[in-house]
Amino acid sequence: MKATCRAILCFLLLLPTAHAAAEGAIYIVVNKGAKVEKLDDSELRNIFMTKRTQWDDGQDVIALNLPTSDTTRQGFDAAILGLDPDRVQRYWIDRKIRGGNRAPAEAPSAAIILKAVSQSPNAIGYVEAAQAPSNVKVVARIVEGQVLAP
Amino acid sequence: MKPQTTVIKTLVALWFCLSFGSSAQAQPAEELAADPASEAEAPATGAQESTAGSPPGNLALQVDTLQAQLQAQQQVIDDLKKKAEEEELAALLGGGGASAAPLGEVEEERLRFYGFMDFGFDKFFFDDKDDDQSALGRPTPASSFIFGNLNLYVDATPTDNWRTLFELRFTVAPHGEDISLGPPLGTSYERTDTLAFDFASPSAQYQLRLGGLFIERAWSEWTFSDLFRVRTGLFLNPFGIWNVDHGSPTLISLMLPTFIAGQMVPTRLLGLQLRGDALFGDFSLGYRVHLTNGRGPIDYDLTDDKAVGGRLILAHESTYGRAAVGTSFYWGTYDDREKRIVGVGGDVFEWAKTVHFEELVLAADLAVDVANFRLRSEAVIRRVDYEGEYREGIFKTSGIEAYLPNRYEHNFYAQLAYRTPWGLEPYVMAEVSRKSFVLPRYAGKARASSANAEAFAPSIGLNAYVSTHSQIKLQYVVISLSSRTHIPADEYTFPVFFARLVTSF
Repeated sequence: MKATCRAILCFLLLLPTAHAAAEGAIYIVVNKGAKVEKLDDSELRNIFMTKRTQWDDGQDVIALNLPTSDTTRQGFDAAILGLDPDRVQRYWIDRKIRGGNRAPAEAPSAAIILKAVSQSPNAIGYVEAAQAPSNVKVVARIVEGQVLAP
Repeated sequence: MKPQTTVIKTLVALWFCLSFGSSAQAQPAEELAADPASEAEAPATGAQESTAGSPPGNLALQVDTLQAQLQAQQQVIDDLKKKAEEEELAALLGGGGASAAPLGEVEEERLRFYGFMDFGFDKFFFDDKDDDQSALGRPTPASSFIFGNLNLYVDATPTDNWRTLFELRFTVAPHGEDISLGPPLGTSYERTDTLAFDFASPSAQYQLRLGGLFIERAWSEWTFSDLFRVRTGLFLNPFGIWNVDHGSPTLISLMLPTFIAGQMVPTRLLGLQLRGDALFGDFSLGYRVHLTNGRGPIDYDLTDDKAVGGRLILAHESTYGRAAVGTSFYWGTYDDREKRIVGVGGDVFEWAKTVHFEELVLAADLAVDVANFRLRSEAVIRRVDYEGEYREGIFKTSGIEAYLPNRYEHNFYAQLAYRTPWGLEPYVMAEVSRKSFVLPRYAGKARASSANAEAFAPSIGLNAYVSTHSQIKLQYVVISLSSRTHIPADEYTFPVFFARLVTSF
């Protein structure tokens, strides 16, 4: 009986909770002039869950997400938040009902994110590694679901 | 008769087909005539015909002209694209981007509307003849469809550091509520009836059943930093898990725990709250402290002694899940007064104290979301001490006056849910409580119907996530009550079934 219970528990624990990360690497980018040099996974989680809303110098963080249907967004959410697209949306619905902080703004494309980040010293976003130009600063990388230093 | 009818039907059908068919044929011709595009095409065709016989020099000139027009139009398109991109950027960056965004786009971001609603079905399985149903607020044990919550949120951030949020619940209450606990002998039973003529209706007989608006919360918050925010207004008491999760889309089960349903702690407070969160990697430590009017018979505070409360939350969050432990407290006094006529001329009225008690409520809570499991548990204890004879009355069918004693009350619940990857979430829950049973205003001065009623309520449930924004929630609860002082039976058990379709928008 105990063995059966253990087996069921193991099965339940091993069921997937988040989609697999996007195949390509993802770069987390900030403005060239931003004081931050690197961010780890917990810092990114706090920023993109809007728990941390200010940079160290007191300026408001402008976190920019891609649409939930975007595969880069899905890879980012899986690696940083540990949530699949459906749960990400539910997470923000729950936050709204609780009256919590708002979700990050959603940019329609990586190009807009890059433009916003290159123009605003307070913006942070993420794009596919291949799309990252030289006029922004990379503060973290996501490679095969792992958050790595820039 | 029948053949005649058939002939008439056939003729009518034929006439209909002919007239419909002819109008359908006529329509494209009319549309074509009115279509500016087709009108625009006509000169072009004419031009092609005329160029067929033109010399080659004229043709080259026309090509150059068209080329120039094309370039000019391309420039307009590029300018518009650039402008749209800049406006989008400005909206994303909160109006502080490269160029000023149109006011409408930024305003849309600064003012948001959202909410949730639920509709469902309830069935109480208790004896129709038992007077306990009055305490449950149900006139019969019959099954009924339920119009549950319709809550609208208005969320505004007029400037970067200010936020205002209010949540309104639209309800059919108080329609249908009893006027009194029981009609005095010789009088007839009455209930609140909000039916009214709709004077705006062209039909003189049309009537409306008026409902009400309930303000769930309405506050403004100023953010100095993540560590320090000031919230003022009417806010949900940040006490434990349930009162913060608050809405049916967010909560796991449907039935409220006793400390929320029975107001062991006031669920809404009017006053001032300081709040903040300190982040340490995967850990966070949050605090909320508040100074408010506290519990009272009306929103206006009848005394100067304000209530204080607070909450500490230690949480760990990673890609594996979230675990949080919290502790909360609330300390305050309750005062009620009534106006009495003491004379004529000079001092006509005097305010006399009728109820005064002091209460301290302590709680601890645990919330764990790991893998697909969700665990929620809260334990609450409340101490109530009255001042002398200023006590709350207890309703007794015998008519004997009785009052609530100084007492401890408690409530504990635990629920464990498991989210399958197929959108189903079964859960189990158990709750124990011991508290006084308080009735709404229709009970008059005898607001409490019993002291220290004990309850045990195990339940099972299932949430089905139909889509990201909607879910079906089912719960079956067996409620066992004991030590009831106003009914003959010491113990009473009845099952209840709840179902809700919950939609957030």
